[in-house]
Amino acid sequence: MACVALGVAQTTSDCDILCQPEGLPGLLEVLEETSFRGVPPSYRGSLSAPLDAPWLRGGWTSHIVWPSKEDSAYLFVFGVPPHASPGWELEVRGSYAGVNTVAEMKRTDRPKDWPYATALGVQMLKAKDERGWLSIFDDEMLTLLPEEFPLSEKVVSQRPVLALAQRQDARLRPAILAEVQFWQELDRLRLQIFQKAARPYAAAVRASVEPRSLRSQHALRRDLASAHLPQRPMEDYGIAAYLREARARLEQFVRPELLEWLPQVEKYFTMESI
Amino acid sequence: MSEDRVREIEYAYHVRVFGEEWARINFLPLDERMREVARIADFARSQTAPKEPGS
Repeated sequence: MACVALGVAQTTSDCDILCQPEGLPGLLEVLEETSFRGVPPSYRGSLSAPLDAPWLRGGWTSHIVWPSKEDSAYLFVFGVPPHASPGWELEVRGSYAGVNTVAEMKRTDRPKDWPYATALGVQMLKAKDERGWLSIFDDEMLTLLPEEFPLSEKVVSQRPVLALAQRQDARLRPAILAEVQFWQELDRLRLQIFQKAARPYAAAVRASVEPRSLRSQHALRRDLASAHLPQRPMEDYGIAAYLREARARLEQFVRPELLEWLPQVEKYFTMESI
Repeated sequence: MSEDRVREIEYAYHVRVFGEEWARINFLPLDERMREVARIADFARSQTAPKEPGS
């Protein structure tokens, strides 16, 4: 939805909501009262965590659906935006997450998301927000834009590949490809960690009889989560181990000389931001 | 910064990754974008085969 509002997309098949954990009870009330084409909402799938602060604060998401034969509506609720800088609450503009938060959330394991990150990065530069340099993943853009916008030492230190852009180095393209692959490995591993941690809970959800109302489904899921769903799987895995493992996976298929151009990613995976 | 040059670079990128039609629409004002998307959706519906036989 934010990408539509920001003019880099025109349609969306679902809706992502970022909600501060303390706002979740209010959100649950709003959802309970919201029907779509006369259909009430339900929790979707066995992996969906309860709309409850302890789990969403730990990086879980809640999936809500208004099922319909014609066109179901889907909602994904995040307590913290994945692989995004802490402090997203301070950058909300109207009903939408700030452009930097949206761009950072687009660094996923899905290739289709990356052009949106780049398009948003350019918008940020036009708005004199130099963080836009951290979200542009197209070698042609990174070759042309340094002539138009200043590139500070600070931003280059956060993303070494920008030094290659500054001096029009031929290694820019392979270094960006390695960088994108690194982000994709990080996201893929993050999802695997959550999926593995969710198995006992998902099995318990599948074995239960889902009540009709969202409120009753919520109570059931909260009980099952209390018994079976670890609240902070990334913390359990260990952030340092997580970053090491993602890099080790990358090293299996990326030329070693490209690894020196990888960005600093630690700040996106603090316990406040996962 | 030359705004015209930046717009040229940005537009060329949108054409490259989103295609010419979406690039054109992406650079319209919001109300015109919404009208264009509605027009495309209406056209798509008019060209779509019925979902069920006889409908």
